[in-house]
Amino acid sequence: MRELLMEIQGISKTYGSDSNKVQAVDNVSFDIERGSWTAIVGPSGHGKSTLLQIMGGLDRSSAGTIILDDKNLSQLNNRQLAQLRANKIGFVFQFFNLLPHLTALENVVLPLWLNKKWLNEKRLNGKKDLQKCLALLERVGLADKANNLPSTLSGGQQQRVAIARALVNEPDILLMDEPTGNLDSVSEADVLALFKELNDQGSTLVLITHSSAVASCAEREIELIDGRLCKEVSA
Amino acid sequence: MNIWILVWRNLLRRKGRFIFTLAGVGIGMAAFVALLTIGQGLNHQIQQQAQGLGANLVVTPKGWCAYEQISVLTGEQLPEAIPMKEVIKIQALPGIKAIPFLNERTAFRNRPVPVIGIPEVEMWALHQWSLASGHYFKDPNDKSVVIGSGIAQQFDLKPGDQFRVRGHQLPIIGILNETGTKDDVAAFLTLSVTQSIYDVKDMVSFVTVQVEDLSHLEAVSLKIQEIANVAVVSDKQLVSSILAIVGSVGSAMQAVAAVGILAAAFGIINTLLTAVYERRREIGILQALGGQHSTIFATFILESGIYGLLGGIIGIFLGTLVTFWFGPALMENPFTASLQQNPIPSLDMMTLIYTVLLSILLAIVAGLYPAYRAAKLSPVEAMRYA
Ligand SMILES: Nc1ncnc2c1ncn2[C@@H]1O[C@H](COP(=O)(O)OP(=O)(O)OP(=O)(O)O)[C@@H](O)[C@H]1O
Ligand SMILES: [Mg+2]
Repeated sequence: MRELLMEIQGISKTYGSDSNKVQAVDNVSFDIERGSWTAIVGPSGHGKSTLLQIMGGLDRSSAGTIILDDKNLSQLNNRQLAQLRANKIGFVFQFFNLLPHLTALENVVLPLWLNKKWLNEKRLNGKKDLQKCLALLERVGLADKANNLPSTLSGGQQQRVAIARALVNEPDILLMDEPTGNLDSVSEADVLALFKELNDQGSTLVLITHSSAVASCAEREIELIDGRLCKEVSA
Repeated sequence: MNIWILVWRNLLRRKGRFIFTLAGVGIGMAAFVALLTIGQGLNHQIQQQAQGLGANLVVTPKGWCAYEQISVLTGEQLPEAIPMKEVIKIQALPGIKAIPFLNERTAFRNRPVPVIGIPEVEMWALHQWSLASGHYFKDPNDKSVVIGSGIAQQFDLKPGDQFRVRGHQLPIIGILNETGTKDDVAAFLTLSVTQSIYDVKDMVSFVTVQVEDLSHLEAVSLKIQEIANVAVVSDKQLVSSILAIVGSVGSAMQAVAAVGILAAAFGIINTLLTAVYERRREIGILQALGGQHSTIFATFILESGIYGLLGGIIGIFLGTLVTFWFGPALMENPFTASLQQNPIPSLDMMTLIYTVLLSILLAIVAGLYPAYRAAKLSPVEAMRYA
């Protein structure tokens, strides 16, 4: 039995008011264990991204609770949620979402800057921060691209930089919304291999995907239809 | 490496927009600097002229207007309105030195030149004159001329040259050292010679009074008005009434500067709002990565503050250039027009520091609304824009 990391209990999310109400997520419950790898699948527009954003503290649920590390996310204020995102959660997005005017290395170090009281703490850890980020870039196979701007990298390379960025604060859980959705098959295999490696080393992964190949790599699949948890398949 | 890199890179992303916004701030602040330095230069000049008067009180005919009072400082022609017998009454008062002036005017080589009749001995002592060349009046009826250094330079005159006053050929006997006051641009004759040349026996234009004990200033002023049929103003009143006239010109310039600065502030707001709109997705990313609202807010305030800092510095350079190139023309007004040389704009360190601080403050205030807009974006909403 592995340690329980996140409990999702009866999560619902509705958008809009009375007349044009959308029930994006409807009473979803499941658990995530530390070190597990979960794939969320389902047709387009059926609430996958909404659920992931709520799990990561980017959005708030209309009902239900999420417990991460003994904290009930719906009871945290905005400041505490930002802190939680900084310390416990790593996000990876479909469109890589690197800041275009920062180099690969600067993109990776960015969460560390954001996490600091940016006016008084600057030089002391600067060197250590950079070394740590370089090591991460090396881990995703991009040590030689550290000073490249995102526009000079391929899609697969950009996504690997984004993964390195998500890892820099040593999060408890990686939440990824279609991380391979914009990659060709070669890059997809590349990134998938990286996920396997991370998962083998103990990282907890949750990813949304439309690709059955990607989904089959995960140890379990959760399907969302009309915002409801439809079936749970464990490998 | 820290958040400053992010701010700086953001700033330089749209180079054209950066440069134009900065130019707006720079020009606005330049107008401000030009206004301040020109105003200070003018002020300085007026104070200097007032000091050159060497007196605490000025006795004038009753009912003089401010323009006539200005002429006391500039050496312009004035009506001969105070009879000598009043002057003698005033001079008899204890604890004061009263010196009568007769301000006339002549034309020399088609240029107007103030001709000032003075009691030569008292004037020499009071204004602490010294001679650059030649010698001084020998007695009250010496039919000769002593000229200021500015006049000597303007017309290239030396002792021994002739100076024509109202048809009378008079020899120039001495040239004064530079004083920095209107004495530099006047020709001096003894009072009685002036009175006879201009045919105004026993009349003077005004009288300056130096009071030995300043605590008696008010009493002396009242006493003079009691014994003689004249008006009395203090040098301070004189300066303030001149500043009131110059000030009305100044407030027009202030309005121009205010509009310039305001336009610059709106330029910053506009640029930053556009940036917030363009970067809303990135703002969402920053939030997803754990950035606090306050951090997002700060990045925009810093960006805005940099506009202020750089704009202020540019404004100082631009403003200083404008002041020294166009300042003299910009300073044309009733006071400066009557000065032979235009006032030199004055520039000091405090003005410069003040300008940069004001510029930064202004930019930060302008940045508040865009920064607020950025900070209140919700992370999900910000990221929805692919
Ligand atoms: N801010 C919003 N306001 C209103 N409706 C929304 C909002 N965000 C999402 N929705 C709706 O909620 C539903 C779920 O959207 P969501 O993005 O979670 O779907 P998804 O499963 O991620 O789809 P896809 O696979 O296309 O990314 C959709 O019907 C969508 O239109
Ligand atoms: Mg989605």
